[in-house]
Amino acid sequence: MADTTHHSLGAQTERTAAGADKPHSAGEANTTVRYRGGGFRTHSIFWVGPVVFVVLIAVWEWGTQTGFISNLTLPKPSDVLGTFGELWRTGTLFEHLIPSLTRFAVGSAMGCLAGVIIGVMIGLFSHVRAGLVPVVAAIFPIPKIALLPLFIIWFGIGEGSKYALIALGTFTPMVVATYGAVDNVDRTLIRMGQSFSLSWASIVRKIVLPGAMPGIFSGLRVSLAIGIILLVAAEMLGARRGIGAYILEAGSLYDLERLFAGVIILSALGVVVNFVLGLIEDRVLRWRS
Amino acid sequence: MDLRVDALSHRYGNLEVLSDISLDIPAGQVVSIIGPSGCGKSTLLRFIGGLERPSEGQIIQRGQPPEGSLNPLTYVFQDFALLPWRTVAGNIALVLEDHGLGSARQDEIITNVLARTKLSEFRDALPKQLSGGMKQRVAIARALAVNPAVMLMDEPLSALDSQTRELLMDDLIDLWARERFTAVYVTHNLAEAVRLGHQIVVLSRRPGKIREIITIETPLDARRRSDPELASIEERLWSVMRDEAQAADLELVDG
Amino acid sequence: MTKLTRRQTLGLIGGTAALAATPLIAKPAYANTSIKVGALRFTSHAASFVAFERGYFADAGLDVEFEFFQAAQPMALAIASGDADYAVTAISGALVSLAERGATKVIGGALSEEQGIDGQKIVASNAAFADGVTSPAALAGRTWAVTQAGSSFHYMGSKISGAEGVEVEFQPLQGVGNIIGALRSDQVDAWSIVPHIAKPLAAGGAINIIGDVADYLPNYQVTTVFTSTANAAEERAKTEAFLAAFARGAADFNAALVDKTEGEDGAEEMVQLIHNYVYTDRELDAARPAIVNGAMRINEGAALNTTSVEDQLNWFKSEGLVDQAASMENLVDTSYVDTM
Repeated sequence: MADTTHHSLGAQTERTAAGADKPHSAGEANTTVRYRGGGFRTHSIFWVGPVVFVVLIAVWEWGTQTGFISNLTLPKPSDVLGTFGELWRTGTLFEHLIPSLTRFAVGSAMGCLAGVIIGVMIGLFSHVRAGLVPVVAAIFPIPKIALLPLFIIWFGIGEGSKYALIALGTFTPMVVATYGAVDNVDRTLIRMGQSFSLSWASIVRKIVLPGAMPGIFSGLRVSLAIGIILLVAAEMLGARRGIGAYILEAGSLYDLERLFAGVIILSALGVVVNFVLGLIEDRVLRWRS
Repeated sequence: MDLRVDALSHRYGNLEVLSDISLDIPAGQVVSIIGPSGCGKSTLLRFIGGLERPSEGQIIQRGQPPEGSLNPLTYVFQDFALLPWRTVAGNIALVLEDHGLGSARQDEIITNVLARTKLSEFRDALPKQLSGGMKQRVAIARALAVNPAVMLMDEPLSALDSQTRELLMDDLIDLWARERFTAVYVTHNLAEAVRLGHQIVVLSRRPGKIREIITIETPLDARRRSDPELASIEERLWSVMRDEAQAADLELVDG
Repeated sequence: MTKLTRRQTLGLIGGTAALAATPLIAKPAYANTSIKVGALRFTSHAASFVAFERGYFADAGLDVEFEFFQAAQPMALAIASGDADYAVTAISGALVSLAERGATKVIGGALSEEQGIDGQKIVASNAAFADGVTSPAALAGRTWAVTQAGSSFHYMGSKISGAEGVEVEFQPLQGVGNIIGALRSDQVDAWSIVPHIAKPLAAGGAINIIGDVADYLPNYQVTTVFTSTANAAEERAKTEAFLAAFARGAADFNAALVDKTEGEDGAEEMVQLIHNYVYTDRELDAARPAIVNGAMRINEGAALNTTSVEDQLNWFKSEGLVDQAASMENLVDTSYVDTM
């Protein structure tokens, strides 16, 4: 075995030295080991995404221009753009955007804050956990939209019911994410805190809360997306201004251009919220490896 | 301050894990505890420091902890237990903040323990930037910061590679030579036990009982890796432990 | 469960009778064709139910299958997508938009407001009523409930407040159920609604009737018969057959419940027929008053009041709810029925 190895190594050297015009003529052929480790690894190619986007929109524009796609099926992208222009020029964009952003901000701030507080309490106290986990599990699957008429009775048809709807919708996923995050805080860190006789408050503030932060942030991503979805639902009743109301009105008038313009605004809102959250996360969770 | 483990037994339900352990931990000495895996040595350490309550028996403290000891019984953990979101200085500050020392005094202590563990230049580094050995040195600096009467070390070198382990062992011996600290050192590594222990307590497999206590007279700082006396002690320990380790290995995990 | 079974049986008997009778009564005017008719379970859709139950569709050679919807808007979309052939609905912004996109056409008239016949009511919440909103003239600064912008409720509210020279604020609440809830809890001030909903609520003290829509919008063409542009343009015989059968059903309905020329028995028979489709979750005795109260005239011969339709179209345009270029030509095909 050792001999063969030496022999072939020698032959390799010889062949390399002799050059390509004198091929190796020994009885056993040398073959290169075939590379078989490829694939199953994605790497980011930055330009593909935008290109796919542009091609899709170009095909869509072409289809609607030529009538290949009927105007009943999809609006022309250029008309949607025109609608945007109109929204911008007439100032209607902000007339709709500002009430919606306010509702989103107030509602999800209330919901997420309450969710984190309740979630931490569930994570820390067995009695709270035993009492509230079933309640949260019962509230979670309720489609919050179904409760809207009830909210109107409770909180009035004005902003109150809209805040309440968004707050409740963001609250439950936040609770679940938070107590999950508290449960996942490294127990050895807590035991370390106890072994140095840290006070209970210090352990919660300096170990449990920072340790739960990554989980809280991923909960925030889900909750805020739900908040945007619920914006449309919240503006179903008693709202004449707001992106959700704008979309609903466009839908009821079968005005596809406005419908698409509104949906694009919501989707852009989602992208912006996610981006801002990413920036904050990078700052706050700098310590993560 | 001396510690005494007095007739300590413990069981989880019907499963007896420790049986009638009595042990003295005199001030200024390192007591190594070794035993096969699952013999309850880490559990014993948690009883000594008051992190768990034994079914029977007690831990007795004789004498007062030294003046200015902020946390007389202080642990050093196998997995370092550093807060990843705090810097090296921040991790040490964590255990001082509750004592209301004032920021100047606190800063002084941090600077002092970092110098003693040769970490001064890493003061503002985050744990993720440090190697395993460095992390354990931060954990030791943190333990020193509270000026402990007894250090309770739970396999502090087990998570490190062998070279780092050797280096850190030398550091610990240096430290002991300078500070003469008291420690209980739990390990499953015979060489560590022999290098660092004034006394070596051998536990049997579950339920853990004291099989033997070996006292080594050679001063810690005079022990060498190649010392034939140490090698023969290690050999003896292994012969005591071998059967226990083999039997423990064959046991089902859940008994 | 037993109730359902009984009703299904009744329906089956009726259907079978109609089918069996067909060849004996008359030769089909048009070759046997199956069509889908969109309908809401409202009394205002009774003409189709009557035409089906009494075999008028079968007489016309049409094999009708009903598609039931919960709201007018999805029904209009179903006509546009070809999932239903003919339906009756109020003129809404969506209907105008769909017509402008070449998808739908109004081909006839159905429900009309008529002075002297009990029609849609203007109602006010208890709090608003107590606060002095006892007539539409007192609506200044009040909120008016609508399902959606561009709905018939929006049109009526706008026309009524315009006629009184007052400004109201429109409150979109999506569904009739939501609006009733909001009125009961005084979250909105006023609304207009068909009599069979208004009267029982007012009788129960939940709301107050403060006027009649007919006083402001005489001859208001409330609902129209519509179909897809393809049906209107290319399926003339089928469309005519549908309208003829629909008109026969409408005539029976008017005679029995609006003009009341058929006597008690005729009215009762009509109520029972309609009860097969409407208020099926209530006993006949409980459903009867609602059906009788909801009887508004359905135009003879499905005639269409184009003056009213044009007024509605102009209002949609003036409110910016539909394209300014929207035209009567695109919205209405006047070649099928008489116009007024």
